[in-house]
Amino acid sequence: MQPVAVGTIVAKNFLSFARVLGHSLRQHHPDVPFFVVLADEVDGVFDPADEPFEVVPIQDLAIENLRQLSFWYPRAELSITAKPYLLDYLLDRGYTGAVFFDADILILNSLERLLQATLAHAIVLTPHLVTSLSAADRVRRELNILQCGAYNGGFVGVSATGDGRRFLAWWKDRLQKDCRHDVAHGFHYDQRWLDLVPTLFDDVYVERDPAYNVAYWNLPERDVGGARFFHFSGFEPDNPHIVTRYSNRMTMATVGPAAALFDRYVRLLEHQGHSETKRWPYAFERFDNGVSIPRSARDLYRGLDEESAAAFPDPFCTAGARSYFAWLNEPVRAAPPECLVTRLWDAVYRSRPDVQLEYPDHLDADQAGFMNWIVTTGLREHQICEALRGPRAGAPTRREEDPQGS
Amino acid sequence: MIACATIVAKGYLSFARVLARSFRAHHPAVPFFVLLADEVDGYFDPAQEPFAVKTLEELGIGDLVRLRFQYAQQPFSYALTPYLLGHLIKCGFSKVVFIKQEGLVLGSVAPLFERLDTASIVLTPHLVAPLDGADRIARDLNILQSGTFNVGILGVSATENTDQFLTWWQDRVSTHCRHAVPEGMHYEQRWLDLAPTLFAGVHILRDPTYNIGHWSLPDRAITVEDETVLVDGRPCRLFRFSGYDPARPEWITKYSQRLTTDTVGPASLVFDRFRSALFDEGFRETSTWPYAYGAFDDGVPVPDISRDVYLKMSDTARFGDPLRTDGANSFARWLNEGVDGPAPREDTVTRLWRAVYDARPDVRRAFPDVLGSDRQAFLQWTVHFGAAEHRVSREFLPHFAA
Repeated sequence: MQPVAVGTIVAKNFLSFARVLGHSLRQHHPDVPFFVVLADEVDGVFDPADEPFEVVPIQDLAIENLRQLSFWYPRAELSITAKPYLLDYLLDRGYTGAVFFDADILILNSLERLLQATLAHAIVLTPHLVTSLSAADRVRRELNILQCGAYNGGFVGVSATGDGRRFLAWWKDRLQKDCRHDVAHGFHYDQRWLDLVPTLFDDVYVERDPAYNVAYWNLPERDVGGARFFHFSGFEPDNPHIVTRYSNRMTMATVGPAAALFDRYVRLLEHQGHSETKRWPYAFERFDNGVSIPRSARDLYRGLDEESAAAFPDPFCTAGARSYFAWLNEPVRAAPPECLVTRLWDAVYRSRPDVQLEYPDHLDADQAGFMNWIVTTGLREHQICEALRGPRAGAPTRREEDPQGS
Repeated sequence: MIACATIVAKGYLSFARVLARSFRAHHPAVPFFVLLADEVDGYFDPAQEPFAVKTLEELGIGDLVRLRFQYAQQPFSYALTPYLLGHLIKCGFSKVVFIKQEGLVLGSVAPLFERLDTASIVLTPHLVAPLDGADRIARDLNILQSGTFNVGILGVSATENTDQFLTWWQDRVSTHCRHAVPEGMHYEQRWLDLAPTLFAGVHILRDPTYNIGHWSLPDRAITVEDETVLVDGRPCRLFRFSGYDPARPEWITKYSQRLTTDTVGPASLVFDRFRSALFDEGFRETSTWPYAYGAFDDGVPVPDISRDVYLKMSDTARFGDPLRTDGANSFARWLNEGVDGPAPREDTVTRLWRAVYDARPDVRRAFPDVLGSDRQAFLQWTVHFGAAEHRVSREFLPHFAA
């Protein structure tokens, strides 16, 4: 048995982040093995053998329905959903402890105690906040944490114990279809699920040391100089004056001593090829005919019941009249009177209460208005391209006979 | 010294009696306190009750006048939880356990007391094991929305950690004890999700024999043998009747339609027992007793919307006690003033109705120009629909010609 391994997950446009993380880890823990799951395809743009870490193709994780999963979720969510699979993979390879770090983390000092805690407990979590807040914005900031989750998903440690494994199985199950962002209903990707972990599993250790997981949400309370790892959540090196895209509370001018650290991080990313890697395309971005997959099409497919989804074993495939792509473009109602609204646009409609109010009867009386909204507004707001625009008014519509007669 | 306590308005006094007696059966030596989140008003004699009554005055809450107005009866009693715990610690008790009013102690809770030897704060979760079953996501979400810990029972010991925790909890619920799930709030309870991360000495008591309630019933095998209620074969310690209305006994809880007495199995016997205990303790009588802060001092019911308006205002000192209606500066009078200056009585859109309008997107859509061309139509709506929907009495319809 080997002790602890560390891993992260990226699509290849984030490879420079993984390189920076791996580098910083090696500086403080040269003996801790580091793995990077590529939630993407190499597609010849880089050579995994040249990387200073072992690249694990996402296909090597035990994700039974990877083809579906990579369609259900867009790029960022696929990486998030793969977390428990990565941790299981590392434990399966014989490590006693497995640690996940978000790729946008920089190790600044020894993590010895945290790695030891991972070996000593079933599950280790780090909270967003470790002290109560006292300033005028205390309620607003704490409510924000209550909406996003008490524990940060940027670090998770598990050990090869019954409860560690049971936690991973449970987390995988929740993330299969519910790695979603819907705060009003209790969803915040993988993270809100973690709130339940200390109540559902034995031997969960909450690491409250303020040296870990320093980030924009706790900066006012933390000593950046004493940080052991810093989490650049929401930071975009191409917008280096914005601390995080998730909050406009802070700017580089008001962020204090952390500003120098952000500067350094930008340079490290640049040094590791950020301007090149950021341009690398995502392999699961498009249908096989090159059309970009809109989020609405992913959500609609994820929401299909098993039987309906079984009709489209490979949703990326556009060949033939029975493809998911063709199905999206069919009128949502086959029976007369003529319906121009496709299944895709009907799904968009159902996700937009404001549009529903505007066009309450979108298949009949308000159809013309809704079709006009698609052209003037909908295509742009939902980043849907012409190929999925649906039929034009007056043009002949064709719908394949449905053998199930649904 | 250990103390146990709950909080009720007098309309729920029978719940406190049932809870206190069930607690005493297992812990005869532990004093049981009931904070009356209300006034006695001559309806009962505190000295005759099977518990020691604590009054709001005894707690010495600085802004009680504001607190008792800004929240309706239920959230007000919830918000008092950390104040009551702090008060009893100050009284000299070394351990204090709070049990929410709709509970029945069926076994010893001594193990929770014992945890307080080493822990500052003991919390009990809603769920203690992963759910499976087709509705597992929906049930998880229900917990994520309302809070991972259940305020049905919790304990604190007299430590520095507890002082910090209670000071923090009091501060948060003094302004944010609301049901606003999208904003991350669920009365006093959701705040507890942060407690294990913000304070040292928090112990999570993962014992399925506490806090059996509608959220856990589908997973727990309940069997009833004579007086003993077993949970998965072990004696149940605390059963919770959250959302149960003895007047509608076929529904186990107003919070879930999944469960009825027909579908809940042997647990329905526990509900029956609770119900008859409530009736034995005077439910029929106590449930008719009025809430002292439910009406202004002239007897006019306080509309919930006016509490929301008050809660969001920063300059409420000028009204004095908002329940008082005498004087030119009363809050009730202010609510009845027009939002756009003096207008003929029948054209006045009052501050109260403007607040209703702002809180109702559907009404805003129906009457977009509320101070202009839609004014009369909106005022008609207040009389024919709004007053009933928002339980606003005639006194707040000054534009209505009787």
